[in-house]
Amino acid sequence: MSTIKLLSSDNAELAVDKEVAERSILIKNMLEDVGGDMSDQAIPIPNVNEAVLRKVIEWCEHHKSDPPPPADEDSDSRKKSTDIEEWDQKFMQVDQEMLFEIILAANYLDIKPLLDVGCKTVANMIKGKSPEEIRKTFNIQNDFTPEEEDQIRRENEWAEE
Amino acid sequence: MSRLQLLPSELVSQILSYVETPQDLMSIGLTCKFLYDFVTPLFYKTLMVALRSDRAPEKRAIETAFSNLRAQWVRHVRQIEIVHYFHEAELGPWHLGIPSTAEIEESVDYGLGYRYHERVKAGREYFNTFLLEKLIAKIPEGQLKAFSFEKRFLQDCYAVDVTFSTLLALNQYQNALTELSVVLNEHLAIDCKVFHFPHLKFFKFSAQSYGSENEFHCIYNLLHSCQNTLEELHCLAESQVNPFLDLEDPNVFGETWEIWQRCNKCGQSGPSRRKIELNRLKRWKSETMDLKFFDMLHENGVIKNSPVVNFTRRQGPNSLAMYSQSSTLNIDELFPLTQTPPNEGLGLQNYLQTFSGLTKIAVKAFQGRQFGIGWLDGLKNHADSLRQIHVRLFGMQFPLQSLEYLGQMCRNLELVATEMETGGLPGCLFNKAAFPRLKYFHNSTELGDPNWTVAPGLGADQLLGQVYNNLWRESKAGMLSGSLSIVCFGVRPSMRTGEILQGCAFLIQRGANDHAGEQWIGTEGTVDHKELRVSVRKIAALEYADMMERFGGHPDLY
Repeated sequence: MSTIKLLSSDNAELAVDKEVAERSILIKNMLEDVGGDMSDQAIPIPNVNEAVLRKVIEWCEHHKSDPPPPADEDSDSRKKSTDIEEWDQKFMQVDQEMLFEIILAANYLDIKPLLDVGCKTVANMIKGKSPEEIRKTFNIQNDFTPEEEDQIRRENEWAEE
Repeated sequence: MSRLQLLPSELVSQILSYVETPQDLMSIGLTCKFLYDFVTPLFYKTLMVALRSDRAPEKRAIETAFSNLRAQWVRHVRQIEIVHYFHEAELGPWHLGIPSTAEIEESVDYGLGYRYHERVKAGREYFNTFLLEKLIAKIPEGQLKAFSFEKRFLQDCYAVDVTFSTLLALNQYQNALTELSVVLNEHLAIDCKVFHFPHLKFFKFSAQSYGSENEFHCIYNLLHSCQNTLEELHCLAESQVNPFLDLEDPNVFGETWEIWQRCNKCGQSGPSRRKIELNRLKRWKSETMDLKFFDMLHENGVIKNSPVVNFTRRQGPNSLAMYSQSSTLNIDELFPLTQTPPNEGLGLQNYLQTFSGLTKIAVKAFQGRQFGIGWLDGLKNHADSLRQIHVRLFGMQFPLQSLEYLGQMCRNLELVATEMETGGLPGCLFNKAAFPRLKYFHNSTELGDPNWTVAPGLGADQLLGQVYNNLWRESKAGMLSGSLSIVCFGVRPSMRTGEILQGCAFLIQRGANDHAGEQWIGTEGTVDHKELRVSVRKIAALEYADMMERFGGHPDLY
């Protein structure tokens, strides 16, 4: 099995099985463009640092033999499932900084299933919480004045009084 | 600045697309201006119109609701859902409530009853014509994707339901509907042409007393129109009659099929008219549907090539649900099996042997002991793929031998959920030799009658103690299943109830790096043994069902 090298934003060189790296559609397309031979040269991943890249590779290793994800679901279709398989749940038990870095990396590297898992994890952190609890969880500043908040509550009804 | 607010907007949208309930969406909207802007279109995607279920809606209330509807929100609507409520307290700001002041007359006086019925009829017409129809016309063409109008109780003849005018509006203005749920009635079936929805992916129909010829004529036409897109079908019939005892019913489905094929009004004609093939059907849920309906679908090849991965059928007190990752479910083969009452385990066993790849099976059995566990041999083909098994038995226990046999055959089982008659819980479940990969075990047991002389029932404390003892015995012997994480056990006061008298959940953690229990709230006590930590908390009935859902159980059956 051939190995390729990835160069993180902080200049760390990581060797990865080609098959694993190709979970990233970005890398896959890149390799196809250059004819697959990148054995002597590291592929720069300028947006992702070493720690995050290692984490992403760990995910790709575990999921290397997954079947390709189904075609895009219609965004208006039935309620989406926020179930996350157990390994992924454990994988995502990281601090928030890392969680968002993984999401950004998955987006940049075009690894749709990883991006989905990351987004679902954040969504699950929101569910069942009050506005104040959500603010606390994500360190969000409340920029509504009490009047604005009142107005929103009033105007968000379907019908006018 | 929060990390969430620093994400590119498409990622924020993607995250929020996984938040489903209006409560959660509203909470997000109230956190800050940035998120409010993202949430608004999601919040107004679904218009939930709430009808008071025990009162007829009045003309004035309907007109007021429509004229006060804010246009700026209507432009976001992609789904309309009619829901029912009993008390004002059930309404949230995400509902468009239709208030009503006319109370149901408690009197049994026929005169009053008749007047009430008339009022419901008038309310139904008004609600459909002056609210739904006009609303549908107001939404930009092609934008409405889903429409759902179900009754709170199917048998409730005093409930307002969908009329032909609404269906016509859906057909005329928004011929891009992908989801539709309706209750069938005779008034809906006056023109089969209108049952033409060529983009439907999801269709649910409910029929009172199995429906009529005209209704099924329309159903066939609808299925014909969306046969190239339909992925999920729910058919639900509600009747007081036990279909197993009432097999003499005239074959309404077959006869209707013949009539439908000859019908000139339905729109299309020609050779393609002769066939319906649901070649994209993935999920099929059926409740109390007449066996003849299945026969008809089977005999006419409607489901012959359907790539079904998830099939649920509930018939009286028995039910059967099967799930697979890919479409290995041999759905057409299943139907000869349904021609006899499914109280014969052998039929199910033979069927299970005709294919492989099931990941989950759920069986609820009441009629006949054979059906309860008599099909275990049929799981041989699914031994590698099967991850979850749910068995609910009335009037019997899961015998120890069968359970051991199950574990020895299906080595990859991760979840076993049972519900059974009083009796001890077999300790083998926690044993790593018997169930090497088991992660979750759920059980609820009926509390036996202490006066039984042959097999006196154990008390709730004793039953719970037994689970605890079994767990400790295996772990002290070093034989506890290495993956076992959660054990839920509840004691029911009697046979036919979901209520839990007493229940405990045990969480098993291994080593300091095991974070499985971070969300574990309300622990009553923990016990450590070497690397092992067992936490115990009490659970109530609702939590039990909730856990079933959280861990990928099958809440439908519990």
